[in-house]
Amino acid sequence: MLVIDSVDKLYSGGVQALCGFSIDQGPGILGLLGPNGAGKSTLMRILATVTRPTAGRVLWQGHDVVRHPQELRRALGYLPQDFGVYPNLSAREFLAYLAAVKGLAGRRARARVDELLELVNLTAAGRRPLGSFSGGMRQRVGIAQALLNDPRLLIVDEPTAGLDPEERVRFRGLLSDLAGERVVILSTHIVSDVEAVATEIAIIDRGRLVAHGAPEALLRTVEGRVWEWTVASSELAAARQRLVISGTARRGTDVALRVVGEQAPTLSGVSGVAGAAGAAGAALPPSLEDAYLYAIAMARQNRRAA
Amino acid sequence: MSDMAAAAFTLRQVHAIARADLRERRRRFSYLATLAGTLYFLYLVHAGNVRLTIHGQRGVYNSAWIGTLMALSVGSLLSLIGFYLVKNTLDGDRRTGVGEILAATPMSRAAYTLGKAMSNFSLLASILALCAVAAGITQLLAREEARLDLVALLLPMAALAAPPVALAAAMAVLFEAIAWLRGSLGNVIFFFLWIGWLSLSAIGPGIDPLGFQLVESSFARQLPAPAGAAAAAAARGGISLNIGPGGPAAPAGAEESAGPKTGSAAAAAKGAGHQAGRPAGQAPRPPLPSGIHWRGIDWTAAVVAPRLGWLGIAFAIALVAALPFSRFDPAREGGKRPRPSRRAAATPPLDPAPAGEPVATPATPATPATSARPETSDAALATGHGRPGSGLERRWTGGRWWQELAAGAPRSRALVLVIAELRLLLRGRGFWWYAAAAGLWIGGLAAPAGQARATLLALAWIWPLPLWSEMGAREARYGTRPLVLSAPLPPGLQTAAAWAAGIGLTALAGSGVGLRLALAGDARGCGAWLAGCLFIPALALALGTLSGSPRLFEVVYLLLWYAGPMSGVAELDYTGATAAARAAGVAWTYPTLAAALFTVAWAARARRER
Repeated sequence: MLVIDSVDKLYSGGVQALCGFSIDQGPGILGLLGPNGAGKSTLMRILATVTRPTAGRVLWQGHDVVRHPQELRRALGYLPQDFGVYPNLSAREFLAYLAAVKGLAGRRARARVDELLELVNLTAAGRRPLGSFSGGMRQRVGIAQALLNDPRLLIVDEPTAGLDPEERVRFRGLLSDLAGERVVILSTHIVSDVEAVATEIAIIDRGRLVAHGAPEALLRTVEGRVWEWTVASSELAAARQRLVISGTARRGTDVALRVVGEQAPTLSGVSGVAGAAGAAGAALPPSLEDAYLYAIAMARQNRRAA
Repeated sequence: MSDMAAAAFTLRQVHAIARADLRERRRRFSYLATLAGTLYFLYLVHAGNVRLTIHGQRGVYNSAWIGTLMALSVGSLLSLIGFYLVKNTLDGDRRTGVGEILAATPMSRAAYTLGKAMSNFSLLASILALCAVAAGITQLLAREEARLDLVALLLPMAALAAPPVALAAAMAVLFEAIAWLRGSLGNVIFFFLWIGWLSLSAIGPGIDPLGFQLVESSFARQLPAPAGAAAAAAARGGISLNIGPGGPAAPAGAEESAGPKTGSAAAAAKGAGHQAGRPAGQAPRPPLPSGIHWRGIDWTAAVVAPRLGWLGIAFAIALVAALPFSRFDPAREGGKRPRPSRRAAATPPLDPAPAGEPVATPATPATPATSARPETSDAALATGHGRPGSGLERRWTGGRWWQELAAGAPRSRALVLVIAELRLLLRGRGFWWYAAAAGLWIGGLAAPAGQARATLLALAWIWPLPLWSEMGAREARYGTRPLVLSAPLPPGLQTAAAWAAGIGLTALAGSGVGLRLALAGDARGCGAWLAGCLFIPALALALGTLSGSPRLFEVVYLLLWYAGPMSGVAELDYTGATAAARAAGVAWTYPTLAAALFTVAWAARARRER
C-alpha cells in the first residue's frame, strides 16, 4: 500500500535529514524508532505530504504522492509531533472546522465529531475553549482530529507524549483496534509503546534505516548479547563511556548494569572499570530496548569502520 | 470527483477556514481592544474632531455627508491600521502547528489563502459595521438634518470604505505568504504602499482606492457657481480630511494649511498629536459657510464599477497569495537549520575496549525509555526559529554571558546583561543589512550638518526598525518568558538592561550624524539627537512589553517617523531635524516621555513577575 523508495531529504544548509530511506509497508502498525534528530519527523512530514523529498519516491496505492498528493491526503490522518490548536475555539468547533477542511460537512461531520469526542473521552469538555485544556487533553484532541476522515493511512508522531498512563494504555488499545486493513505509522521514543502495538519496527539513525522487521526478529538479533554486570558506583561514569548500557539498578554501594555487547563485559576487559569482585557479566533475556540500542550502536560502528 | 462537486468542496473549505479563523480572532482580547479604540474614534467624530472639507466647505450633517465623512475617515485609517491588525493569521497557524495539520489535508492552497483573506476582511468589516451604526447616531445627535436616509448613510461605507479595507485584508495574506515580506520589511513596505494609495487619489477618481476624488468631484458638481475671488480661491482647495480639534472659526480653506491634500498620515498624526493635549469634547464642529445640502454621490454604474473593480483586485490578490504560500513546508519556509551537535549522537562501540586502550566515543545516549520528549524537533531544526528550544532560545540561555552573570560580581552584572541584550539585538541580520547601516553611518558623517540632521538621521533611525521591534516582545514571541523570569536578577534589571542596550543600538546607528553635529558645534542638534536615542528604544520596549508583538511598535513608529522627521510636524520630530522642532523643546520633552515609557515597560514587566 505504501512504498517509500530511496527517499533523501537535504535541508538548506546542507543538513541531510534522510538518506536513501526505503520501506514497503502493508496494513499493520509500523513503529518508527530513533534518537533525537534521526529524521523521524522529517520522514513523517514527507509521508504526510507536508514537505517533499529531495530525491526518491513515495507511492500510495501506486500513486506518486509528490505528483498526486490529493490521492493520499484524502486517505490520511496525521498527528504531528508539535501541533497547536486555536485556543479560543471549543474542541467541538475545532474538530468541526478540520472536518470541513477534510471534506466532511453537515450532519455527517457533527456525528463524527461526537463519536470521536466520546472515543477520546472528551465529551464533557467538548464545549470548553481549547485554551483551558491540559496538555494531555489537547493531545487527545489531536488524536481525534487525525481520525476525523476515517483514514486508511494514519501517521502519528509521538502520540502518547503528555498522556497519563491510563490514557496511554487506552490509546494503545485504540491503535491496535484501528490497525485492521489500515497502514498505521507510529513514531515514538517510547519503546514500550511500540512493543505493545507494532507489527513491524523500523529503526532510523542519522537519516538511514538501520533495522527493519517484526519485533520478534529484532529481539533475536540481541539474543545472547545482553548481560548484567555489577560495578562500583564510582565506576559508573567510566562504564557509561565504554559500554552500551540499557539500564541501571542500585545495589547498595554498587550498580547493576544492563549491558548490550557481543561478549560478557569482563571477558575482554573494560578500561578503567574493574567490576564488582571482578565477576563476569551474566546473560539476560533481551528486550526490545536492548535490540534498539544494539541496532543503533552497530550502525554507528559500521559507519566508523567505513 | 466532478467539477461541480470539487467546486462545492472548495467553497466549503473556504467557508470553514474563514469561519474558524474569524471565531478564534473575535474571541481574543485584542479584538475587544480594537473595538474600544474604534469607539474612541467614533467619539472623536461625534465631538467634531474628524472633519471633512471639500473646496474649503463642509456640507450640512445629513446622511450623505455623515456617511461619506465616516467612510472616508474609517476607510483611510482601517486600510492602514487594519493591515497590521490582521497580518498574523498565517503566522498563527505556523507558530501553533495547526498549519501542519492543515497541510496534510486535501485543502488547496487557494482555498486557504482565500479563506484567510475573507476572515481578515470580515474582521475589519465588523469594525466598518460598527462605524456605520455610529454614523446614524452621529447624524441624529448633530441635529442639522433630522431625516435619516439609510441608503445615503450606508452606501458610502460599502462602496468607499470596503474596497480599500478589502485590499488591506488581501495584502495582509499576500505579505504573510511571501517569506521576506512577513516581518518588519513587509510592514515598512506596506506603509509606503499606503502612502502611494493616498497620492493615487490626486490622479483621478477611477484609480483612487480610498475614494477621495470620487467624493470631491461629486461635491464640486453640486456646488453653486463660484461667485467672486474668495469662492474661486476656496474651489482650488480640493478635499481635506483632518483628525484632531479644529480652530473655533476656521475660514474656508484654512484646513488645507494644516496638512497635505487628501488627509495624509501627517495631517492625521498631527491632529492626533494636538488631540492628546486638549479635551476632545471641547473642539467645535467646523464652520458651515455655505450650508450646502450635499445629496451624496450619484451611484451610477460608471461610479460603482471601479469600486467593484477594487474588490475584484482584492479577490485576485488573495488568490495570487496561494502561489508563494509554502503550505507550511519547513523546507520552504526559509531560515537556517542549525547543525546537529557532534557530541549528541556519539555511542560507544559494542565490544568493550581492551584494558588500557583509549576509546574514542565519549558518551552513551540516553535510553529511549527515559527520553519522554525530544529536545529539538525536526521542525525547529529545519526552520531554526519560532519555537522554544530553537536558535534564539539557545543563544539566550547558552551564551558565555550567562555563566559570567551567574558567577560575576554584582557590579559587573548589569554591564554583562546590557552586553548580552545588545548582542541579542544585533544578531540575525544578513551582511547587506549591516552594509547599508554602515553606508548610512558614513553618509551621516560626511554630509553637511544640515542635511545630515534633516535627512540622514531620519534614514539611519528607520533602518534598525526590525531590531527595535523585538524589544520587549521577544520573550512572548519565542516563549522564553519563563526562562527569563525565573532568572536570579534584581527586579527591573533586565528591563533596564534592555533599554540601555536599545539606547546603545540607537546611538550606534545614528552616531555618524551625532559625530557630525558635534563637530559642527550644534549643541541643540546634539541635544535632540540624544533625546531620540533615549526615546526610540523606550517606545519600542514599552509597546513590545505591553503587546507582546513587534507590530504595534512598528505601526506607531512608522506613523511617528513619517509625520515627524519626514513631514516636519515639529512636535512629533523626535530627531530635531527642523529649527521649529528644536525650538519646541524636543531635547526636553522626549527624554521625559522616554522615562515615562520606560516606567510603563518596567511596571508591565513587574506585574508579570508577580
